[in-house]
Amino acid sequence: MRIQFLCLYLLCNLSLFAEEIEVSRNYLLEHYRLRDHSYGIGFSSENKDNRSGFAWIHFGKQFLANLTLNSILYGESSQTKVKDVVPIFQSYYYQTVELQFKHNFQVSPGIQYKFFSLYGNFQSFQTPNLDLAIGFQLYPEKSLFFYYKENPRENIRSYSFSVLSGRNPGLGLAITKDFSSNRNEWYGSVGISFQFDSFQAVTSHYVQEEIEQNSFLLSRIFQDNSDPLFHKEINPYQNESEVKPDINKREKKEFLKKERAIYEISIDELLKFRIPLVIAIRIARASKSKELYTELLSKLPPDIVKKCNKIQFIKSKGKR
Amino acid sequence: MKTHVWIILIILYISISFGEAKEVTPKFALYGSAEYFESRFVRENQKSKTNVLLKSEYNNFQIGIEKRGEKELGSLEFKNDFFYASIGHRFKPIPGFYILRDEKFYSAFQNPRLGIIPQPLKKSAWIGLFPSNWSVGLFMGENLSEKKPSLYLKSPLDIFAYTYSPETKIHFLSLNFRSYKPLPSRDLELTISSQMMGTKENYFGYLNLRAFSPSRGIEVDFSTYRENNGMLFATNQDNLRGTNNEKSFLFKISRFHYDRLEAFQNNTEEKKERIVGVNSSIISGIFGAFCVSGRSYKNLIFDSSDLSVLTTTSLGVSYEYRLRDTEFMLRFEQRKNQDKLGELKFTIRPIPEWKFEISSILQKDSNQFRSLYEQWSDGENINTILTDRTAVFKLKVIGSFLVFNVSGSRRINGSGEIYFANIQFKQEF
Repeated sequence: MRIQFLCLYLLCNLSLFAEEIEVSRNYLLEHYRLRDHSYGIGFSSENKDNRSGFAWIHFGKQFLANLTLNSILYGESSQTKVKDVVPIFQSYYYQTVELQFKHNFQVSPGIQYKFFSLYGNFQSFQTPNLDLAIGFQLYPEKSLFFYYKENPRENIRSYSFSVLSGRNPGLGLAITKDFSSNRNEWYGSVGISFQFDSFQAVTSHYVQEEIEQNSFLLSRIFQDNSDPLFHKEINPYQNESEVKPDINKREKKEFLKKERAIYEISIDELLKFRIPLVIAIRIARASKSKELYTELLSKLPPDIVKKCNKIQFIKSKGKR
Repeated sequence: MKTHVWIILIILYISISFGEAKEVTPKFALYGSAEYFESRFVRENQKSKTNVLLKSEYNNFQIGIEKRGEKELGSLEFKNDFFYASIGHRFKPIPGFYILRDEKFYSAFQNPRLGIIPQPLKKSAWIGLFPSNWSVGLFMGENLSEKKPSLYLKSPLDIFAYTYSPETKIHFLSLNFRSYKPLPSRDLELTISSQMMGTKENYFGYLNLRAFSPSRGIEVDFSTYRENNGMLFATNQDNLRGTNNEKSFLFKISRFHYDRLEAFQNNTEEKKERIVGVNSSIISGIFGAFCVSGRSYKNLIFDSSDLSVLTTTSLGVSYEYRLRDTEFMLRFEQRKNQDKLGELKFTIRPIPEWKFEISSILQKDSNQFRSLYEQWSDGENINTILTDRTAVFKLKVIGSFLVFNVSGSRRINGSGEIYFANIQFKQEF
């Protein structure tokens, strides 16, 4: 079976000018960024203490008939509350709250191709790790992404998938499984989105162990993916026979153009319309051949062309 | 005789005389129901009950004689375009399942196309004007208004009904918009159904809102209910109902049925339970869909001095099929805290006017979190509740002359099993 892959994104962490931060594992938000060429902003609130804001732009250029190279620029800024307990006397403590700010930038190149292809070689200035995302556009409004992420520093491998269905409203689900030497963990996120014209609003709820995160993002889509694997999603509420044809669409009638007949014109007929003799002789000779006549008329002034057309019209009426 | 009494009698005479008479041919309806309930907490003589009713309709009159349990009861009704009067145990001019109902019995025949058997009532008397249009009147009923008359108001087509009893300060409200199309040019349908009863401090009821677009496959549901002493889920004699004084909210949005987001919250005085989840189809077609779902469970338990929070997440897989009214779902769910759950649901209409439904749930005895289950509140409207029963099985057959309902469930920790069966039939001639 020929499988059409729409997007293969190779995510590189080029953490330029950044400190190490725990990148959000809300793959559902990543799916919204990967799905369409778009730009947007968003913010997240985690456990009511930690907040972050992010922005991205996703653009691409088509090089060949089925090949598009894409790129995503992503930036995030987060504020974390760090609570610490300082002992004053033996049994008295003083709690301190410190705000930490961190920033992160990422560049993620990707390739959109009819057939599958794979690229390697991922680098990061801070910590080398591998990010891979493979996408399928199943239906016009349903897409599926699979993710693989490595974090060698923490010795964690993550496998995840996310699915988005619909645009207005759109429902999303992401489920992730982490494998590490000391634990295996499941977590995920759910989301709902609405699209008005080219603007999209998304709200998402992410749950992992003791972390609960709510996110909101607003984006503008300037090009969506339009080459799905299946073109029509089945509506279980209706039989096919119940689907009414669109009565506003009318069948376009194709009118066959009749070939225009060119009639021979005599010099006398041309002189009656006060066409100069020299031009009349040329027209009379050319009217014996359709191509010559058409070529000559393209070179003559508009008033003479108008007179010639009138003569042809009178002749065609006489022929009927 | 006083002047105002003469005036009332003259008005009644004119109303009765000039009202349009119905068909001359009398109609009869024979109705019967039998119910059996088995639980180790129920005495032997309370396990089964029967009800037989013979109803006759002639001209503007309707009369019913019945045997309900061990009692013989009678009812009489007069109705024309201008005037309504009834007395007895069966007839009332307003819609609504909960108003003056006999708690031990209920009638499952409420479809106007197939013929309605009125709900069994407590002893009551009703009198009102213009029953087919906007109607207003007075009534008295057992345990609701025995000394002072109560007021009722009803709209045409039984869309709205309201009653108030000054004696017991009890209000009752019924709303019933079905498949209302606010924009005729579009295929958007709205349904609003609600019944609420009680005082301002102590009440029970439900509100269901639904917006549905068949061509786009989008369905949005919002429902809320408040339970009070088991009054809400009255037809569920198997005790599969909400706990006392609990409030519940459900929001659901679905696309082509298989892709859906659900958020549910249940509040009682002791705890708050919240479930948020998404179900999505991975592969779908004319054969149905294979779906994956994720849910987040959160319980907030209020002790006298402390608040404890329990959370878990779950992963579910299911096979689902939906084509118009035919529906099938087989689902398995495993939670992070090792809770397990299996669900089965099947609905089909094999022939017109008949419906066959099965719903079943199976969960581990040691499950820490309760599970969602759909339950009939008044026999017609479905509300979602939380249950900790380890096993529940319900079978319902609904036809033009027969309704058969059987269910069985097992309590948690092996503390007993409950069986319930109810069969009702009617014959018109």
